[in-house]
Amino acid sequence: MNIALIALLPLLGAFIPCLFYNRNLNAASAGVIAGFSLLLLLLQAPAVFSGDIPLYTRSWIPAMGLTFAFRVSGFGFLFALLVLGIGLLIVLYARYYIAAEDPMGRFYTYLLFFMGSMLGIVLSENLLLLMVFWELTSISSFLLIGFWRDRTDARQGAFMALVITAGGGFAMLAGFLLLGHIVGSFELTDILAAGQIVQAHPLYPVTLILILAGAFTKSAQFPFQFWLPHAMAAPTPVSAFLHSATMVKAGVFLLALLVPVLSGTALWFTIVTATGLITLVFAAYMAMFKDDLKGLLAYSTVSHLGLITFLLGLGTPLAVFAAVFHIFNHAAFKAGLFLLAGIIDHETGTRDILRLSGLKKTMPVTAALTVIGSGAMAGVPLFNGFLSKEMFLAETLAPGLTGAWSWILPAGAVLAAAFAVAYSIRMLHGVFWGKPAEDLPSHPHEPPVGMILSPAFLMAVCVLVGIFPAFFAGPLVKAGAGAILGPDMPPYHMAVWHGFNMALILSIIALAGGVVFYRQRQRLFDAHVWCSRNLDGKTLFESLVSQMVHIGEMVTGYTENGSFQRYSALLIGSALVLGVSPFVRDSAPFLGSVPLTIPDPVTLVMGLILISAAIATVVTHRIRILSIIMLGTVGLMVSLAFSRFSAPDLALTQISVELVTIILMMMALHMLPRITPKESSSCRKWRDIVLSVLAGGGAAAVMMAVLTRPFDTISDFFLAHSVPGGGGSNVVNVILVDFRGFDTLGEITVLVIAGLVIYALLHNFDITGPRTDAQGYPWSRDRFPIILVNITRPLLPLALLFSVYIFLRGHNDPGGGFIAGLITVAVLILQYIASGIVWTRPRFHFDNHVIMALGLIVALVTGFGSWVVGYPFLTSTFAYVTLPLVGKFEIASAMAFDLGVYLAVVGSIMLVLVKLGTINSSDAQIVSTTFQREKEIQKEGH
Amino acid sequence: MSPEFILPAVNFQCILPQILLSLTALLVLLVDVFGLVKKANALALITLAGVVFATLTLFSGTGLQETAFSGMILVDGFSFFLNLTICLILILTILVSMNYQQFFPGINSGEYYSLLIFAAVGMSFMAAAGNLILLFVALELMSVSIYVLVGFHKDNLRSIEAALKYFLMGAFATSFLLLGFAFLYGATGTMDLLTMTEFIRSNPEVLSSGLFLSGVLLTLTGLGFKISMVPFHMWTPDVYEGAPTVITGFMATGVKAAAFAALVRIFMVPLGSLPIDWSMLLWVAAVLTMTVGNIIALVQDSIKRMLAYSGIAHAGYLLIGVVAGGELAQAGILYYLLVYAFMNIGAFGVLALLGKKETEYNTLQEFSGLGLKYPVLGLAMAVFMFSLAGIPPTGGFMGKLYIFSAAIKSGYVWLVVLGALNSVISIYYYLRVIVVMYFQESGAEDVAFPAPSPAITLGLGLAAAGIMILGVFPSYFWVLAQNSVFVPM
Repeated sequence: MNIALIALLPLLGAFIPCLFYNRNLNAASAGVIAGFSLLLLLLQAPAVFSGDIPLYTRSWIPAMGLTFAFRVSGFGFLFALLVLGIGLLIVLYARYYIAAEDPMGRFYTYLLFFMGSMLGIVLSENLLLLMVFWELTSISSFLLIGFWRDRTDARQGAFMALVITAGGGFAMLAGFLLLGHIVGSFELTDILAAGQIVQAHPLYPVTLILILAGAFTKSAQFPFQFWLPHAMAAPTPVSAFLHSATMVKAGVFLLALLVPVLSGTALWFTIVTATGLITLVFAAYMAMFKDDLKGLLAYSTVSHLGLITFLLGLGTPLAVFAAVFHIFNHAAFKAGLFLLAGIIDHETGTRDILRLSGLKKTMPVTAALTVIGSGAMAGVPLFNGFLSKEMFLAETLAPGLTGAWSWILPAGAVLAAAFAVAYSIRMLHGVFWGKPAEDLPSHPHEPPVGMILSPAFLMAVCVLVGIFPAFFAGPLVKAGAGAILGPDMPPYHMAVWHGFNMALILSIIALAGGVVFYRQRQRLFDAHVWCSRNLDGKTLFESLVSQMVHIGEMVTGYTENGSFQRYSALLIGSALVLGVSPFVRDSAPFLGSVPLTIPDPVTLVMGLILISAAIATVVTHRIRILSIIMLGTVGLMVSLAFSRFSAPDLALTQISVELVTIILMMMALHMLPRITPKESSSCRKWRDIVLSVLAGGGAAAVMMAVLTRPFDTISDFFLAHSVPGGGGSNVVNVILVDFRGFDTLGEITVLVIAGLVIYALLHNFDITGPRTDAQGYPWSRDRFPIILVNITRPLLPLALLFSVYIFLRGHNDPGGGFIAGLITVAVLILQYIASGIVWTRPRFHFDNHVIMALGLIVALVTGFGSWVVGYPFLTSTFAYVTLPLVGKFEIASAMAFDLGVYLAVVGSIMLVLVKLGTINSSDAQIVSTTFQREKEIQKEGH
Repeated sequence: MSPEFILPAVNFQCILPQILLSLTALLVLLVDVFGLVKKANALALITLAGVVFATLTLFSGTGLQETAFSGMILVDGFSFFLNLTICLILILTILVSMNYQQFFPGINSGEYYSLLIFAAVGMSFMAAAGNLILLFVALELMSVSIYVLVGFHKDNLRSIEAALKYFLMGAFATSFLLLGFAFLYGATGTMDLLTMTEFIRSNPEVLSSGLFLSGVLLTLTGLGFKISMVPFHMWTPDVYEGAPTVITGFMATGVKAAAFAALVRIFMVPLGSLPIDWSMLLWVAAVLTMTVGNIIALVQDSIKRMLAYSGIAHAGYLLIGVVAGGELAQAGILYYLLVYAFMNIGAFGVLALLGKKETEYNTLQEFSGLGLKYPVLGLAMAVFMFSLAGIPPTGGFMGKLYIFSAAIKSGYVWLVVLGALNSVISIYYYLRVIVVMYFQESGAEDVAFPAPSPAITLGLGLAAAGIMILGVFPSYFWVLAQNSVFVPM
């Protein structure tokens, strides 16, 4: 549990500093928490130095292989020590650095949050857990960079840093999942032992590249290096802590951690070494030209990270050892230098090397400490940077790594080292020497003791390690490197003097070269102007983003233009492809084994009429009335087809539905202009034609395919059971009122509700139809042609009688309540159309609402009737009676039910149609005036 | 009538939550029509009470594994988990609506709340359907309710346009779905999912018949439309943008949950053994869906529209699970749907927080500075965005982790790699929202931030807490999801 607490303490305690309003308490509480963590860490020291790896495991999500497990390896210990040690120094420093008006509690909260996450990374035993902490550090870095939230550069820097590092994190997640899949476990202990399995696996290259993507983005390796300099908008303690000493090292930490698993292949060597070398040289070069102190240090950091990456890429035991050592050294001197830069910024008000000058008089202590830091950064003997850098130079000389290209490694290394010397000199010389600057924003003076204490401590470490490496750093680095290398620990020699060897010569060349570069800086600056314009990663990133945005806009413009036609074209087209394609691949694509019937001439003619009427409907669609007539023809032909293929019941239903529908459409048409405007371009028309031909053809083909395959039908069941079970020989009607009576009950209920809803919607619907046609002629003044009136009136009783007939025969012959209802509706509505509402309304006394409700009640009562006598709901019974004149006649309870259907149909459809006929406000006016006139006439008559 | 005909055993216990929900819907409608209660939030509170009660009764069905209504209803862990998700979605939506109705008083009506519930009943039956016919009817119940809800701002042209577009295209899609079901029936002779599974198992040759595959693909078309799978996604942004914000959140989560339930029930179990080149089709669809959604989301200035496209992308991540197949992937999908419900309704809830009379705010600019003015709400939005982006320790990360690792287990490495790369793109536009909220002073002057009501505070708090719980202590829900996978009996 203690191990877990090392990381959890700062994470869980992060909110505590936020609780205080006193700045000292803010800092103190953060310090105490970090201190406790450090204590817990140090308690593990004996075990770690003796080579053990203390473990703490708790199950988290066992099914996923995700455990809540921590380990303290030597390497993790080293890192955790850096995090907590430097962290404590930062806590102290920030107390003085953060201005009074900034929310200090929040700063410490973020800082502790970061500290806990970073400790989580270095102490995780489980890769997925590591991943979680990894992203947490990205978030806390985001929060800390954006601490000064009103600054635009802070906002952009924070945003970019998070997008890059969290994005890399996703690549890494995929890599980890693959790694876990290959190994079969996410526990580091298992993974570290499975190097050979991993490298032999076919997924190794993908895994490696994904994990490297995560590590390189985090450690700002080329080509992702650009986010780090832009993250410098953060308060300086944050830059010192996150962006030089710890967080950016998470990437190289991960590389080092996975060296036993992933390194040793040509792929690893090529990618990691090359990336490291390019980053090393490029960033060192860039650092020379930065006028901003923090910018210079940022590029220097990138360069040093490149150095570490490079060493890990080499992968030899000594290189790994040097990498671990350099991680330690770099953290010490670079964090110190950042803190010193912060002091300079804090006391003078600027970090611009061009403005600063001659500060050694006014800030002697700061100057002295900076000399130490710069010396370490440049790799001057007696400072710690020298030692690891010399190991690094020696490693580049290791023979046989790249064959004929072997010169490139030392050459690049020396070049970068010379650049490092040059920028170190530039920083020192530019800021502290020369004549004192006079136009500084504030008067320079030494900072308070509390502020200088932290960098002083770090510089002391630099010097002590630089002179007595074996004593001060030896055990720690040995434990760290030992944890990675295991038994392969190389014979190493940590001392200032190695004798006069090749590495020393390279060091001297680098030092001398650096001085030369510095003296020739003006020429270099000119050359650089060209490079910086073309090689800035930020512009690359931004152009990448804008490229993506551009692609997005293009895709949007094409697919998302808001056009419903285009959407449905895409929908139908895709569905067509999906629906038809399987048949194409079928062995017998569109014709199954059922033989086709030869069509007789009548059917053929009907088919031709049907097709031409359908085409005519589309062609004439702009002249609405013509189009509707054509549509009516289509419906008629379909009804005829039903009757031709022995479905008289369907034919009857279809034809009555057609009739009522056409009437409905005619009524609606009355409100619309006579001709539809032209809206489609011819190009779109062709698209639509092609699409509809394909869709229609596709549907036809699929139908063909389905209908020519053998199938079983349930018709036989109904044919067999219709008379004995339902007492009727019209199977369709028996199904409707008996077998599926419950469905029908539901349907008529829906019909009634729909009728009511349409009625309610139309109720306050005020619409004025045109009173003239397109040419400006008024509609015919003779609204009710006398011939039509005279034909329809005698038709009414005949048709009603016919509907009764249809109703009564329904059970045995084509007919039934539904059809009878539609016939009634048709003939009633014909009266409205022919004679007008003024004549019709007073003569039809019934209320459609009541009829509708009556229909439902009758149907329900029938259902309950059978319940009352002990049968299930809606069970029907029947008997035969013989009536005079009529003959043998069957009375079925289903008939009462059918009556309900009849009434519901009549009521609801009449309700809608009558309402629709009267919503035209101009008509309504006529109606009311005519009513008045009639009344007047009646009065006069009296 | 033949006397031996006996009504099938009816076990109302199995659909008790749905019955209670429907009764609540009717009750709230009647209460509104007869004007029984006058207080402002009364309708919402009645609805809330009914829904919470129905949710509690859900738990009486835990651990059941049976069929009811002659196989129409499957009462199993799968339907339990999804019903829980759907009820949570409903509760959160009601809470958020209570805030939203101060800008749009029209929302505060019986129709609104009853339609909301009926849509949820449809969703819940979709999750429980053991028969294609019931599935279809439930889908229509859900869809029709939502068509109306999308057009609920009846004086707003965009809302009406959205409703009409969704309705017309939805009608097309549904007809394809129905045709697909018909073909499946033709090929296998049954509409019952369990029987169909059995049939396919004993007649594997059906898997290569044109009729069957055409049925499968048309079914995919219909369901793909509902989850906005590319290329059936076109309607999504227009509809999500036009619909009232609360409804957008509701449909983005609820419809997706229900449609994915259907996809799992049909595609992952009976069709689990499709020939490889047909599952490659889903593979391609998943990649396209993720990529198109993410790339277009980059461009959006309106947060609402951005969330619409991100919804498409999330459908893509979920499709990875469908492609992967197997019980682990099923559990991953369930888990992801739950998380998605929290984070998406949360995000839309924050959008619904701002507004003035009859106006919604949803551009990035209008949200600048929200985090500074209301730190807690800003924090909640940050949680939603981080979770949508899939950054730990949020639930969104866990969801992705489950789905990705299931896909890797099934050997779909490249799919996961593409999924991860897509997540990288998505970080950009999710974080932009956070950056704008936290790092910019309020940009648009006329945007007043009204004080958040208790209801929405509760709603957003619930959502954020849910995300964090699912992210940090996922074990309980993960085990629940794993025990809830659909295994044919």
